[in-house]
Amino acid sequence: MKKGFEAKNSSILIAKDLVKTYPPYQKAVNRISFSVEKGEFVFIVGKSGAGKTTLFRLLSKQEEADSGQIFINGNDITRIPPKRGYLVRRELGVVYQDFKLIHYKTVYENISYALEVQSVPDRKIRKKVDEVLQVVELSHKRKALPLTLSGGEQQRVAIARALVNRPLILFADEPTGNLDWDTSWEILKLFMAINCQGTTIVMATHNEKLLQLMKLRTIVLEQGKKTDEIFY
Amino acid sequence: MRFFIDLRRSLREAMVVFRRNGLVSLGCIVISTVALFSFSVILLMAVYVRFGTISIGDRLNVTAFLEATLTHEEVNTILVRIRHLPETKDAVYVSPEEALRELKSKFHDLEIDASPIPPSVRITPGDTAYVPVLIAQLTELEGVSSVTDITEAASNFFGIVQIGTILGIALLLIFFAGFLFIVSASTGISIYSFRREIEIMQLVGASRTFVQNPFIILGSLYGLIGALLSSLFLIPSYQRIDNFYHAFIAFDPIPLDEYNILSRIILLALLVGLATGWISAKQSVRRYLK
Repeated sequence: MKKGFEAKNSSILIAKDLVKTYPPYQKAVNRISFSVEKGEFVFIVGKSGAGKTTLFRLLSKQEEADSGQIFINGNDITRIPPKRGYLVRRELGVVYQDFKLIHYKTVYENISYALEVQSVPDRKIRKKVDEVLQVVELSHKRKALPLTLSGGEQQRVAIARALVNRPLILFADEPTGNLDWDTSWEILKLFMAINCQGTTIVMATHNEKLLQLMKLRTIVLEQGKKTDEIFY
Repeated sequence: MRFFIDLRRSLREAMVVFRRNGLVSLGCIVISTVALFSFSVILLMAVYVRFGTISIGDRLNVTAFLEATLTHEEVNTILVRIRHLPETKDAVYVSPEEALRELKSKFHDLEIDASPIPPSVRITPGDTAYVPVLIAQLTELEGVSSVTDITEAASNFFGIVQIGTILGIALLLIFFAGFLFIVSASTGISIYSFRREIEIMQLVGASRTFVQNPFIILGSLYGLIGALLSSLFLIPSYQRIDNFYHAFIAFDPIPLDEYNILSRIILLALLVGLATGWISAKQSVRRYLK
């Protein structure tokens, strides 16, 4: 087990001294630094309020850091104006605890939407969505509405939507938080399979049992600070 | 190519939101219709009142009586000079014989053969506000013996027109502001119900424009349908107002039909409806993009 921050050239994600303060003085993220290698699967753990979600929001350019830098594939995304943040998000995949699916769109439409926003032609969309539906084993549910699916299936749709762009990094913010143990394990196996195909994954969780089973590199957050980094 | 792909998708998305928001959409259209109809009726009335005042104003003529000893050439010279005055809209020579005929047509039992009225020039001022200046200039003209002084009547009329114009503009502005507020609020409610979807759209990498477009199309559609419906209701209202106007002001010198008032107001209502829907939707969706 070793500790400390050491950014390498092969790092696909580098966070340097990230700080985010919410009014009046609450430091949600306090000088956090770490790096993630290409193809790595990293866990970020911490109790509620530790700063995991804020960190994810900064990394996916949903919010702006007060100070610090974030390099994704060598590009400093903190220098990109917030209005153009959508360009960064197109390069990333983000999966949320509450799935964030559009209820009036079918499974197919929810996934294809991530490509539609990039003006991808319909023919290419069909091909890509079909591929990704096979990965998450939901081809038979393509016309179903999200609310008719189980929690695990909804999360798989969300994963498919995050994957359809072939993202540089897949961020997953407590993706198993709303699921029972068996379903969580299924979702985690899916993430492992995706990771094996070369996608870098950064996942936030507070599920101790999963961490014990996976034994992967883990960054520990407490009250907005990185307190530990565990390498297995 | 990208533009057409995005446009097609925005239109499809707008239709989905329109259908899914059925009741709210209906409410928005009803509100737009009522607001635009009120706006159009007020505008129509303002136009007719304006035409009415112009028509009445045209009847406020100034008469310059000429000296009876003037030759035909001298009368012509005076007439040309009067017509060239900047305050003059029109000037007509009335001979003593014509004046007598008019007098007899008003008073049938009048039994006189020689006209007691001197030759005169009947002048229509360009505006009722010009009357005092016009009278002063006519009085100074050589060969003019006297001028009928309608300054007080003109200034009273001018005052009424001014108050009417100010009130009309104020009323129109109030209605327009109310219309903007109501349409914005109702479009805002429609978009509010999609705030979660707007957030998701942004999370998956949609640009602001891509998120905004369906809602802008939606807002414009509310305004456009509202304007079309209000125009349908406006047609019978127009006929009533027009009938009332012509009953009130007989022998109107202004050829109202040539102005295509109804089609102009309908066109304006369509543009206002479209623009208002567009602007209010853009404003409302901006709130959720922050």
